[in-house]
Amino acid sequence: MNRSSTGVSVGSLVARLATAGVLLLAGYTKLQGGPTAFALAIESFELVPGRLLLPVAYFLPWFEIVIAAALILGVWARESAALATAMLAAFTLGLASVLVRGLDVDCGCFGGLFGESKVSWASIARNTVFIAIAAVPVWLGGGRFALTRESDSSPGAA
Amino acid sequence: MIERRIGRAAILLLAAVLLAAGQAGMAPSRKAAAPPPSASTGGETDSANPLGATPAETSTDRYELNWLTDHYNAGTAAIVDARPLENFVAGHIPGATHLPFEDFLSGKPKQLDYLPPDQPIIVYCDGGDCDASHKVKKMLHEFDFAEVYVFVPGYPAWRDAGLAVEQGTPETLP
Repeated sequence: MNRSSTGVSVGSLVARLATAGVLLLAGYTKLQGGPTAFALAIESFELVPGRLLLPVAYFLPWFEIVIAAALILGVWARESAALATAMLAAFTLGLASVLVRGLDVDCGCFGGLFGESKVSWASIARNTVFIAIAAVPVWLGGGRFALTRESDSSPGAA
Repeated sequence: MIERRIGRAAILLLAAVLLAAGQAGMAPSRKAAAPPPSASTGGETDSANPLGATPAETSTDRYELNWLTDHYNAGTAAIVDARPLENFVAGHIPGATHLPFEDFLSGKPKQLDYLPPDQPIIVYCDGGDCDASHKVKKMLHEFDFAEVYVFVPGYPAWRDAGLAVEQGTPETLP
């Protein structure tokens, strides 16, 4: 492995673990708050029909945790990272729609751990950074210490 | 290759669904609170247009206390209290059905079986910035209650006008 490929491999590992950390924290804080509290937070975005609020509130934290676990272990890293990227992009679109509609809504993103209360453009900027990081393993593969390896996991492989 | 990737993503999604279903299955079921026998739901009504509203006015906000008391006294509408239980216990409009938004999160609340489907419903909360009544109104529409109004000034307007109030917990449904 030459120096360049080593750097790529380590970079992908760092991106994978960073994304996993974000998702793990997000999922854990949502589970700690309970599904009802999270359902109410979702409702305030006015994007999800009422009857779907609780199913979504049950599903999303576990989805984040499953993806985080897959990223930490390096299992199906490209697929996991793609799902993480899509999920973060969907969240970001939701946040943007809140701002566009002028709603005064609590973000509820990480249980207020970062002292963030209301949805703001800073929330969107932060999520954009997360998306960029999550997209790295989609492009480069799982990198070092990934449990599953693919024949096409070399840098640049689609 | 793309099929394999989609399959893997589907397996990850399925794992999350199973975990969420497991958590939901372990969640304790909540008993719904029954409405007390209501003085406001038993009256004779003109089912075609009981609150005298045009179709365009249905499900809109109302601000006049007289409007509420007229229909309360005539028994031409069901009254729904959308506030948290502790607020309801501290004081509510006599005969009001306690139906907070959270009760909709577990599916169809049992209180809905006690609301007349062909009668208007007036929802209130604590006035001011309180939007619980609007959330409950939206959910009532989802459960096919067509004519739902929000009394925007809420319980404080009723209480401060010196009208009768009732205290205590709602009855528990079987």
